Amino acid sequence: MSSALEVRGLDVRFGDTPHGLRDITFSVNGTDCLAVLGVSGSGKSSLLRTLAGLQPCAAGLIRVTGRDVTTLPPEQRSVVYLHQEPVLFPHRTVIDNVAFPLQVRGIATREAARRATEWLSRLQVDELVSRMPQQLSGGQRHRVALARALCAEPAVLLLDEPLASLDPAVRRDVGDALQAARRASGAAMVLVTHDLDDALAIATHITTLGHGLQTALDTPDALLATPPSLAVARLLGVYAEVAGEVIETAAGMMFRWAGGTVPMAATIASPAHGAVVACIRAHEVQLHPCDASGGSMGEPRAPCLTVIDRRDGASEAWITLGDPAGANVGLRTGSGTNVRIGDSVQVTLRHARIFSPD
Amino acid sequence: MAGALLGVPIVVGVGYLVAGTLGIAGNAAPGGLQRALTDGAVLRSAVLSLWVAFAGTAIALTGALIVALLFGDEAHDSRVARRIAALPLPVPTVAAAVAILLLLSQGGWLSRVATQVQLIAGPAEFPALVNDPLAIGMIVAVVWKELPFLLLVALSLQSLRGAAVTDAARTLGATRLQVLHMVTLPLLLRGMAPSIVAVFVFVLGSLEIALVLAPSSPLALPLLIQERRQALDMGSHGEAYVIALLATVLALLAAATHEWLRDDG
Amino acid sequence: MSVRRARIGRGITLIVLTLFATAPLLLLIVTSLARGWFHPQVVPTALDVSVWSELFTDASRRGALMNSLALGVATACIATLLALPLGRAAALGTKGVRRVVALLAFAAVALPPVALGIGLQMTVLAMGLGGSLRGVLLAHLVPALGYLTLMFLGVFTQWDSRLEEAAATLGATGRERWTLVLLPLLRRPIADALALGFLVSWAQVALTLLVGGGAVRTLPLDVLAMLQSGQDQRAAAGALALTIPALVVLSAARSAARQTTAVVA
Repeated sequence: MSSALEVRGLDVRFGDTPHGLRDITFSVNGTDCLAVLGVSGSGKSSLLRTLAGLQPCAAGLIRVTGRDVTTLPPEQRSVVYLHQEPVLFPHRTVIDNVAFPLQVRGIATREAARRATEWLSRLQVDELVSRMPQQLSGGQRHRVALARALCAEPAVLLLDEPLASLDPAVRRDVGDALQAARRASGAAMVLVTHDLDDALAIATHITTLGHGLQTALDTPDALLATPPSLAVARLLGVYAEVAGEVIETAAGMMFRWAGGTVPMAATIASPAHGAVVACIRAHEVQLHPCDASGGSMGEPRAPCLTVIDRRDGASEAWITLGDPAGANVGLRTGSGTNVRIGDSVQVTLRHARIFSPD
Repeated sequence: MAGALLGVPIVVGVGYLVAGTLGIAGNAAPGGLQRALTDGAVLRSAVLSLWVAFAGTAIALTGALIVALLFGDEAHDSRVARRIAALPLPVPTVAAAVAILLLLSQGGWLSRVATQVQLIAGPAEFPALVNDPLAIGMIVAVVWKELPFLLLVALSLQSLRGAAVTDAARTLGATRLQVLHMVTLPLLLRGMAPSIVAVFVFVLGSLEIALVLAPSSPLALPLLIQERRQALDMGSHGEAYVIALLATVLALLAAATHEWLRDDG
Repeated sequence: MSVRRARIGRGITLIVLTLFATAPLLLLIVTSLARGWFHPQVVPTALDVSVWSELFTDASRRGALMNSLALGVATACIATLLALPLGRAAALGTKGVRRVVALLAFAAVALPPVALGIGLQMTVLAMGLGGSLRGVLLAHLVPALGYLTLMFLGVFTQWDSRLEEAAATLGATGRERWTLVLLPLLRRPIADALALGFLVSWAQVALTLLVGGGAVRTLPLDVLAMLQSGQDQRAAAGALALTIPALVVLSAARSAARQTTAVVA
């Protein structure tokens, strides 16, 4: 079975500039969702617009359900593009908006209205049929735009920052709508975002962009467990960075840092020796009150660090620890962790991804 | 307050018209309303003025739409078009009417060119394009003045709206032609509606174009009002007030429509 | 349609548009300079600028020119002075007040000048200003106030009041807020208002005719008289004399706007 969307070696230009994305390659199957993660200005929107046919690509291949659409105009690609702010036709009612893709295909008005109403009720906005777009709330507009897109029965759905700039309540609402849409339509989804949470909410795969190139492509779990580079790790934004060094001991390669020494988990980018940076997630950090007698497993005694600062977020806490030599280390931990400023603690790192510092 | 300066003259001015109609002021003989409404000349004048307003506005609108749609997407060319379109705008209506007269009259420039290329033998053979019962000269002048205005409105509406709506329509499967007549054109006309009403009303009441280019029979409405007003018999005065009042009511209705259209958009 | 065909199409349209916009103006220029230009000559054989100098040397023509200038400047200044606070008060006021002011202003603009003229004529006569320059000024002020109030209403509706709020919390008094914040930012709208007010009076025909009763001669009326007596060359020169200041005033307003934008940016 050919995938719904196949992109190979795509080059995308940014406007009239010589800059752009190079050699973008990925495939998305129906009902899967690929999130394209990158900072603002990394070319995510240009990529989407190129896939939609709204701007030409400099090189490469785009296939939709096996058909080569690289040179086809947007209306022939079976690819629907959804803007960040829902773009509804202001001169048409909700039902006329949603029926639009059927109308342009020449489907009879009655049948078109019937199908449109079906999609509206699937997205739970069927009571809005005769309203005008100006009368809808933000969440309602998103749902209507989605219904309209699905009515077109596309093979691919492109979403430009679908959850950005939404209030938390509306965000949940729209996120649920997108999940429902994905299951109901069987279309492949590609969404671009700069926020990992948005990506995790809906995506089955994530690809990252950096400096005009693809820097990663994997499932969310695999990517978070083992990011391929420090740059990607930083983009994902869920790790604390700890400086240290790699040393060779009788027990093998070890990572030594202010809070002790741990066996090294080899990563793609881990160097053989020297100064390194470790990326650690909040749930991989454990803090114990300082025990003068050393670790219970007979390990080398882990040094005691003092809690200098603590900042709490919604689900994580940022702890700044100071060692006797005066160096500070920042870590993330679960917000339930019971430490206060001034406490003396020992740190256990359950997992660390090692990279060369840049 | 300044509001008084704005409101009072209008109220007073219209008030005088009403009073004149009712025969209370202005030395008019009573019964003006009845006379005005049953006078065939008034009807013919109204038809002529409405014809000029409709035809002129329609042609100007069509031309403006064609140019705006051709240039809508191209930022650079659109700016050039805007500059060129801006030229006739500050030209006073009187000057425009004079220019059209010099161009289209039987002794005018087009007639001379036609004679040179031997299409006609002399000025008398050139068709009557000004001061003619079809008011062609008037319509040309209207188009010259109003097409640029409508074009600028259309161009700025397009630049304001941006490409998002047409992009959305295209990815939903609409061809370029379908986008044009299902999305671009309806939205453009909707946005231009107040301007179209304004142009129509302005043309209807314009004295300058009528003075220079209108036929002597039937008289354009503004000229008719003037003629009746300046006539010697008091009966005609009353008619003048009535017609002026009716024209005022029409204009106020148009003003209300204009406001309602603007709110709606 | 291929990209190249579209570009050729746009090029042709630009050429046609340019011809359309400039041909009548060119004809005016040539006619004003042509001596003894008879049918069927397409190009004049002799040129002279005497009618142009006449504008300043001939007493009657100079008088008309001076009247027009005086009326234009007076209308511009007075209307701007009144419309600015009126527009601001309306924009900051309740929705009802805004609606009434907008409707009155639009009525001043939409009313057919002849109808308005008749009413105003009687008003002015009642005030004892019939046939005087001051009476005509009063009449010109009505549509000018209408246009300018609408303009300032629009400006202040979109106004960012946070600028004044910031200035206030930084310690600026009411007067200082006006001179240091409001007025500098209003340079562009004020320039536009002065230009528009001037042009409304400058190009006015109907109100001058009706309220002035033929006693007040302005440049547009002069042009019409020349045309009616068959003096094409003089009429063309007068029409151009009407047009040129309009173009100048508008481009001056535009460059004032550019300066302001540069300061703000």
